[in-house]
Amino acid sequence: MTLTTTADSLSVSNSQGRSESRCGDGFRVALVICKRELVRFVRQPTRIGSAMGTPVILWLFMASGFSGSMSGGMSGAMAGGSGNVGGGVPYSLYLLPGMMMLVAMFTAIFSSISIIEDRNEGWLQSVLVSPTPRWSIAAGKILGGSTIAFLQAILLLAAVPILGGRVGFEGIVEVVFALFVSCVAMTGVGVAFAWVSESTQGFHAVMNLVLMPLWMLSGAFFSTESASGWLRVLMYLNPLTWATSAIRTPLDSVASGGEGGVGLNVGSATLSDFLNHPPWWFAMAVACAFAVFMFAAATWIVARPRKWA
Amino acid sequence: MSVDQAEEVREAEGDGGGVSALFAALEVRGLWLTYSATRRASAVEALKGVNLRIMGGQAVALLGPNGSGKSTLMKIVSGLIVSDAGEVSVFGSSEVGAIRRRISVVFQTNGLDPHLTVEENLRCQASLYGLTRDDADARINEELDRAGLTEKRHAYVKALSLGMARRVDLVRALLHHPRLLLLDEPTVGLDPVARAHFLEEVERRRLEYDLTILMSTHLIDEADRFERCVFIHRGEVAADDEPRALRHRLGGLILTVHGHAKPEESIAGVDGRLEWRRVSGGFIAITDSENTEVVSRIASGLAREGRAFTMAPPTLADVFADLTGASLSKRAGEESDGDSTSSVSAA
Repeated sequence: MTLTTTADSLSVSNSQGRSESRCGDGFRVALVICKRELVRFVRQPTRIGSAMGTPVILWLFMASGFSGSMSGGMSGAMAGGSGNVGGGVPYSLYLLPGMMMLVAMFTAIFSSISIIEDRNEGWLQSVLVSPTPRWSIAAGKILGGSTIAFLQAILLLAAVPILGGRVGFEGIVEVVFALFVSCVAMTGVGVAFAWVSESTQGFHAVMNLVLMPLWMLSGAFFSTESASGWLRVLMYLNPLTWATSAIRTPLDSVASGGEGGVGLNVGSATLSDFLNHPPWWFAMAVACAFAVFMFAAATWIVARPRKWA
Repeated sequence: MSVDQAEEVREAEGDGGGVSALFAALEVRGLWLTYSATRRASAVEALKGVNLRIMGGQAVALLGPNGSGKSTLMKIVSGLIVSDAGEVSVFGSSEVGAIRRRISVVFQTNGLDPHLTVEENLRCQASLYGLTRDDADARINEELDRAGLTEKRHAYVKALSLGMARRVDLVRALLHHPRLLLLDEPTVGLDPVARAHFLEEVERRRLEYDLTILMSTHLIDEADRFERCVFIHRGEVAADDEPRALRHRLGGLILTVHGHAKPEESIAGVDGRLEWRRVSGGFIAITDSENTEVVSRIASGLAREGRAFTMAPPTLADVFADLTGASLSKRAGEESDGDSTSSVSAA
């Protein structure tokens, strides 16, 4: 199977001729829909600005505004004090993973809105009446939205050296993997809600109600150990906490010169330490489980028969 | 006969309509759908046991006012939504996948992405139906050429006029060689010239490809072009016949007397058998004859009284109003004026 990238940019051809199975058709269609999402994105530059602008402005203001009051010990505690990560990291660097998540979240929301637009414009109906399996529509939408979200959010990684941090190849790979999985999860949330939303206004309202609190309690602003008891429990239950942690751990370890988390000596650590500073593999496992769950949920919602369209 | 058997028959007899001879192109049996009540609206029975049978190669218009159930029927047939009860089969198959491979739908809104070019849209559509790249190239070239749209190949859809975009949408729908084409009020928003152009193109393609067509509309002049017209009202089939036969059911001429005075006073002694009904502009009566003597006698009587009147053959809208008491220009459920007033007869 080849994915063409020239003038006929939305064609995915199969050298074997007409597709042999419905599953094969489904993957082909998912790639076509994914590619369409990318083409649409490139042709709407305002989307790039709107998804990047807000988080970057927030980041600049918050990093500058709070850097004084959260310097020194506070910063150290937020970045994972308790001795596991020696020394504090700059608050601006601490905020970076959260801001990457915010960029990814905004982009995932904007990408998911296209489902409502597609329905209003009629394109979605023409896809739904085709014989292509419906899971491929969900898969294409999620894959496309995730890729766009990932490509925008990963740009912020370039800020690490500017902020005084250093990250090696292994760390970059870990961040890339964690970020992409997070993008899949958030786009899955967006697709699931967009599919059942009748208007963009309603979708925005739901997204603000669901994703924003999830993000705010993900450890983007403050660490779990600095949160009060009930808030800390909520943060532990929040899957984005683990996704953010999976992005932060490689950066923290570089910034602080430590190992990043307690993964290497979990046997001697308390449960609290383990949860507050999970090893990368554990945070990643939770993030992956969340992404798989949201992917499955979105696919199920798209595939189920409806009495209205 | 199973779907597989039907496919075997089709393959054995070629693609030239072997199955058409064995099965109805579209058969709808006892279709029911009730939209559930919401906080703002009560439950709506959109379809109430609709039965419909269309043979291969037929062109059928589905005529009814807004809210009568036309689009709901289209959506169920195309598999976009599911019904509460009933069955749909296309060329003998009730399996959704098989139905979707044999049909194509042109909705009220274009099934095109405005941010993509015409060619990109068509390639995307080709992929949805599993066409190989070579097949897609050939079909896109062929269809654009037939539609005279080759020069628009690289144009963005958002840059096309609505009429042009509708024609591209028709090309999109025909790309995979469907055998049943569903058109759900496809001319909404088009000016009369673009509308005529679009309908001519549909008819041309029907003849070229031996397509079966079901088109929903609320416009009588569109329905009149079809060989068969199905009236749908409040989720039920109210009539199903050739347009000409439907018009003949009503009578010879529709006599409309404008103004609100009682018409029977104006034509007393002219023709006592006329049944008058109040409409928004005055009164109408349906003559049961096209006899020139009777017609001229009525005309003379009205002219003597100085009444403004018109005489014309009945339209499908008149037949629809006569059968259902509803106007095609109103939403289903809003009855015409004629329905609320008891008939009056001339002296």
